[in-house]
Amino acid sequence: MEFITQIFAPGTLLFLLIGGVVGLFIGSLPGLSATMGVAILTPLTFWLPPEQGLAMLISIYCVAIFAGGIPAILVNTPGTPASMVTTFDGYALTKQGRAGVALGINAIYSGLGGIISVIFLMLLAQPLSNFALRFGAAEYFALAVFGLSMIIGVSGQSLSKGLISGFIGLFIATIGLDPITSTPRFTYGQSGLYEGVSFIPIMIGLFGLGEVFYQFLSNGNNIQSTNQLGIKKGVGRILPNKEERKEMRKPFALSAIISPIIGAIPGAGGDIASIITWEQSKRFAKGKKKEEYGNGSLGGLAATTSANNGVIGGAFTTMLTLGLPGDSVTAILIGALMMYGLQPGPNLFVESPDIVYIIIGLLLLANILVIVLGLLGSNLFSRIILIKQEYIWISVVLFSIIGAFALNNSYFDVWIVLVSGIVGLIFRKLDYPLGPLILGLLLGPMAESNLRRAVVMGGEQPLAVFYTSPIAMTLIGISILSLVVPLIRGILRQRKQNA
Amino acid sequence: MRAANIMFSFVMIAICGFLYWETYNFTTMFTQDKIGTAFFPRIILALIIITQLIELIKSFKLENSPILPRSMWPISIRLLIFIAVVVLFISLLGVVPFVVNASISLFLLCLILRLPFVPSVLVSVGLSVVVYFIFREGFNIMI
Repeated sequence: MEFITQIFAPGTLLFLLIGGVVGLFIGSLPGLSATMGVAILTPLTFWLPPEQGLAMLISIYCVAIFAGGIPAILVNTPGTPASMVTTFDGYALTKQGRAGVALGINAIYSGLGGIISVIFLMLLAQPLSNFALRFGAAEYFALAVFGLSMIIGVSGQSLSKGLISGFIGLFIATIGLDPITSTPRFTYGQSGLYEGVSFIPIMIGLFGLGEVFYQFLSNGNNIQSTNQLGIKKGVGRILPNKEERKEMRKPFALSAIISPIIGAIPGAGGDIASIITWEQSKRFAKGKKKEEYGNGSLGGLAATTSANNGVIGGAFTTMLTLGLPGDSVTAILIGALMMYGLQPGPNLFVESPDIVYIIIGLLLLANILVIVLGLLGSNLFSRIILIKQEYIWISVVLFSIIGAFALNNSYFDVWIVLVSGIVGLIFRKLDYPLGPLILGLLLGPMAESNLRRAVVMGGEQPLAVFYTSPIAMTLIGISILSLVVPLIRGILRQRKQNA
Repeated sequence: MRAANIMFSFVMIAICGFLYWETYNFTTMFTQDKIGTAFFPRIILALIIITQLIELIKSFKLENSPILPRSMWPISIRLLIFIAVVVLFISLLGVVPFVVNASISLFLLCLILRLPFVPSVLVSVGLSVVVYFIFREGFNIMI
């Protein structure tokens, strides 16, 4: 029970609070995402004990996702991609003069959605990890292939661009010493490349520096002055009354059940969950309430806000039990855990069960913090949006560079951040999605090393280990289906259009 | 973005072609490893070349447009200067004292972003000093 002491230690709680405040800034400022915040600040936590570092990162993640709803509600600009659907009903409520209630709903239901998703994690994590403990090299290879098949889901508009991005990620993962024979690959005599290209500097570059370059190029000096957005001094009543709470009960329950399941699917995050739950709760609404969706529906707002944080528990379930990233933030958190010498996956439950319980405890506390911070400071936080974005860009540049250096005291990592930033800008401009690149980068080593181990173990029949394993065959089968089905659908749609 | 997409595809195919050729220089120890060191990178590079070729063909069907429209020139030049300042900042890390290097670089970035003079000075110096103390005093990192 030592983990309880570690969770409630003053240092852990302090970093949880600091993370909450930082997450609030990041989420409230349109253009800064939870991914960017966690990526930039991960190197800072390297110098802290794991429980304190994780407290800060988890808190940033949970609070930034919730805080993305604040500008969505107040100025119709989502702070994070996950809060895009929050604008539908949130901003409509602000126009009706009910901004306070909308902000209150955002805080309460985001927190509650997050708490329920953590319960989902608590119930499923242990059985799933027990099952995953049976995995050998063949199953792990199949699992990596399954994770990689999710590239299709995060490819956005162009499947070929998504695939290219994913393959580039897989290629970058091959740079350095070969995992089996330690033969150097694509190192060109650079000692900095022998251990491979560090994952976290790439993430900082793509999501930190790259985002700043992209926003600079896209917006220039035409950034809308937030001073002119008409944010009023007070937002009015915050807590929803009994009747309002009754109206939100069903949409919230629906969202709380669906969201963790969506979150558990690798690559599917809050943005997808909020769209699905909003549509589903609209489908279940009746009469006048159904017409209100998109025009200030409390049920619609409760469904989307609880979905944003509701995916977190699901994403952590996949991350902790299988070592697969549920979304881009958990991809970085996998890197952070590796930084602490911990390998997410079923063995984590055997080798370091305390860290699993600490993570679960911190997730619960962070979601409670969402409710507390949200309710206490709704009036104050509406001011954060007024900060000029250019000053944030400057801070991001500085933290990206110094954060990358602090990881290994390596100037090489800083150059990686800059190159990744430029690559991130080019990718964004040419509509190449970044999500598949991250998936490839993270799952590449897992796929390659386990494929080669499985083949060695196969002896005379190198492929037998794959087709004699029901788990591996099922996972590969699902992967093939998830690749083929969208392709067939696309062809059929094309034919229909031509006809 | 037709021209930009075409150019990107050509560059990617050329780089991947070169890297594919590079894989033939890898040492392979088949006694330990049945597949070989080069197998995985080769498959991936071949896949990139194939998908990039598909993307190249698709790019030709896009509407014709210049790589950089004339209206984007001023902001692109400013972005290039912005990146150049970042490059200079990184190059001087460890050479020039951090607070001086960071303050000047951030101030230059503020000027490129056309921020007001006095707040730019305050933000640049303030941020540099705060970051220096967090990393130097807090985390004992020599920056």
